[in-house]
Amino acid sequence: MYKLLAALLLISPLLSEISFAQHGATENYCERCRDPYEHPDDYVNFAYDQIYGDDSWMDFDQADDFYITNPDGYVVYVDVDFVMHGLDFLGTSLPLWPTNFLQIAVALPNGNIYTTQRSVFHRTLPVPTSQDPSPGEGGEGGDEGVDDLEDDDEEWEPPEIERNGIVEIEDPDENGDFMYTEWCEEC
Amino acid sequence: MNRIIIVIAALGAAMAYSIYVNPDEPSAPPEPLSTIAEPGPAANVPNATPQPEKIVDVDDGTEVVLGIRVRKDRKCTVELKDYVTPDGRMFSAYTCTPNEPRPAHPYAHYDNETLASMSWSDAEAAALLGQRLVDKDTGRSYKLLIRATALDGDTMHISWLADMAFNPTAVNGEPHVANLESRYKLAELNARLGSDPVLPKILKRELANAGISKDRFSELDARADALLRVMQDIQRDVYGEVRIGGQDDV
Repeated sequence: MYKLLAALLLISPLLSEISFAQHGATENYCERCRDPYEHPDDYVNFAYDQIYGDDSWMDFDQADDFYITNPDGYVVYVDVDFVMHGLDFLGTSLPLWPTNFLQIAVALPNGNIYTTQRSVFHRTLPVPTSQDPSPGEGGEGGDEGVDDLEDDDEEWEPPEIERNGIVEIEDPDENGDFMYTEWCEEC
Repeated sequence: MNRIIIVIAALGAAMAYSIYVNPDEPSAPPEPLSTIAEPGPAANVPNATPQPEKIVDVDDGTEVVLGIRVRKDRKCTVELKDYVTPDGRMFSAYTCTPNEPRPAHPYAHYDNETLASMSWSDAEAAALLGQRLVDKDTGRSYKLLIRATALDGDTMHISWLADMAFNPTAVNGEPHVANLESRYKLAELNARLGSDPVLPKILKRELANAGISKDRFSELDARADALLRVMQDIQRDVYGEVRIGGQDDV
């Protein structure tokens, strides 16, 4: 009885950590996040933007873990940690100090875990990650053809642009609109 | 000995209790509203007034707003709003609405063809077009972002490519070896350009755990060197001299 009580007391901190692992995780709304099964990077980028983006607002304690809900009602749980670097000793790695990279784990509604990394030096990351994604890619970019760059001896050539007369590039105003230009056909 | 165990156990129990009643822990998400709203596209609940910021100053660079600790230097307004999902479920969630609209990229209104014609010597144009194409044409995006780094020396273009195009793991933690190799190659390239040398070491360890041989590491290092030479060639073409990678034509 005495040993049972002692064991229970000894593991109580661990039990409490497990019990309250998600205690205090706030629920956040992401209007532009899409289906988490097809686009988990939307949630990764949204989580990053809350911590390091231009409009970041979360304290580090707050940003450790939180929920994200999208307009369709999908709820994902996000856990954010620094990637740790340390010493390799007897085949195991002893983490000593944080690097400049975040490891962001997204727990999808079906229980699958999607883990990826982001450098802390980015500015705001795009959400959604792309406007016209190919279905099924899910952020796992293939590198087909990317190594061709090293053997690419072709000279860089700008695309052909039809120019008729003198072309001037006019800067838009602060709203992105161009001023009306009156063309002179007889000139 | 038994007394020592009892003392340690008591300390552990005290720690557990302190975790349970820690006043710094933010409050749990608020319960959903009990009122029923019309089902429809998820949006703010009609007539539900967002709660204003209730600020408690903590004096450590943060403050408590609406029950959660947030940064003081934020450029947005924290709100707690009620939403309804298409199936009628209601929930409350935090958002932080920017105080000012984010300025658009100066080239945001240019189409891809225009950006392509500018990207020979304009790093911003090459970077923006590379970011636009990262999902549709990863190979071309790769070339453009390498070119952007060659033109302005900013290694973040390469980091962006590595983060957005080459996820190190698949779902449920299985390492994606091909993507890990690409990340390692780009991290080695960045290290040669003066960026953080720690990441290649971490990736090398992960690749070694995935069973990558030393010969394969030599190949990847050679590819990083080849990419560096490509960037030097770009600089010679555009600027007439090499400014990166420990070589200076001048």
